[in-house]
Amino acid sequence: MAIDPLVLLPAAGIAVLIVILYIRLVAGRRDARLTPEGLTVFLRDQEPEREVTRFVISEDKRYALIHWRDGGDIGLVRGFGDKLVYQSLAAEELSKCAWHTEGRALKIPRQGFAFPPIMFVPADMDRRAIEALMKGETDAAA
Amino acid sequence: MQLPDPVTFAIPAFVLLILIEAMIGRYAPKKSNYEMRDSAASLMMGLGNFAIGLVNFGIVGAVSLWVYQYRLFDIGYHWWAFVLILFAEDFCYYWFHRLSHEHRLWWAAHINHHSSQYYNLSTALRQTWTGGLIGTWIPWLLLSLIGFPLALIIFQKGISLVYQFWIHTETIDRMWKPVEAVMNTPSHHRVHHAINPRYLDANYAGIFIIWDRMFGSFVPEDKTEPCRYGIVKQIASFNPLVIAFHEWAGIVSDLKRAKSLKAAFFHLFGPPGWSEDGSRLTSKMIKEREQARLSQRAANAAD
Repeated sequence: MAIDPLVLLPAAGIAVLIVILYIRLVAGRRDARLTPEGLTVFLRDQEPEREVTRFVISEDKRYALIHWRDGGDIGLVRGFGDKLVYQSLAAEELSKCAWHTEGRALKIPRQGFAFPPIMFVPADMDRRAIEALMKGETDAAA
Repeated sequence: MQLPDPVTFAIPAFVLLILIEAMIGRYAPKKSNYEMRDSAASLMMGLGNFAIGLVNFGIVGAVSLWVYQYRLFDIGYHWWAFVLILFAEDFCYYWFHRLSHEHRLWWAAHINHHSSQYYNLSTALRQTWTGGLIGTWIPWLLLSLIGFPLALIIFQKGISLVYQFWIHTETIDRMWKPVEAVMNTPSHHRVHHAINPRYLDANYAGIFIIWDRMFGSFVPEDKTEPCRYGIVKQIASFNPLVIAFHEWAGIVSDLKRAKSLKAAFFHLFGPPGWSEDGSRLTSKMIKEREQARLSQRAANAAD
């Protein structure tokens, strides 16, 4: 017995929509909120051989910039669902980052196909630390 | 002989089991973790795969029938043919799956299935959109050459896909030992989806785990090292188009930058993670690096 694809495909589409709505109700949207402790554990799994000198977490707790002792690149951690994603920003990418909204938000542009741009809004006290981090200075006040 | 399509008939069960598992997650989050956008992406990938499969079917069927003309045996639809193809199809699946992890061209088509950091029944439906276009069905031509009729091959492929649905779950822990020894189970398949260095490139099985045990790719789940799911370089998008094509975009970008024909060849057919300057790591390199790190740590502890 075969079911006509013209019936099957719309039926599958409707089933998918119903399941998505159900999951929306039962599980909902989840967003990770970065904490220093959670970030430390994540980075230990992600880059076990590297040592963090310091990190700055954005005001909305969705993103973090990481400075590594061995220098070279800057790490970017972003919340993705209630999981985290790590990106490495090399000098070429760092040069494309720019401050927006009167110096309140750092725009980090799209990296490749799978990493959308972000607006990193640091707490007031962290802005200088980020500027130093982007310049590769390791001894600026965090 | 006309055989039913097991996948079509399993769809209501797929839906029902996802609904149950999502509900379990509400009360026991350690047993099941759903995120609406992640599951929506997985389901859209499944729907896209289903639609593209209808188009691909004509081409794959025609090639299979062409090969069938040169079959070695006339197997037909005897009862033992159903038993034989259960193992023969699973053997083809193992090699398709292993090659899909070991060579970037096929990995580009398969990566989407691994791209979720969540591991639940909806992940099972995060299926490829591009596999059919680049011939990931070729291993199954062996079955036509042996002499299995096309309808029987399609039927068994459906059975395999239905079987592999329920193993994408954290709700089921370990099963009865004899089952774990022979069958692919949620525990074995969690390892397959994990990115912990020790778990990389392991447990390619479809239905029977015996192939992994036979060909040296079996790794048991270790309770002391919980699985971290996804891909080595996690993506940050729930967009099905990005999920389906991001590795293809990566290949195009690498080919543009390739400094030699050899490099271009390796970007296409080498292991995922291969790079000219060694700036990225293959699974083998990640495993070796982790091994070296653990040895160093043990040596430091001994001092």
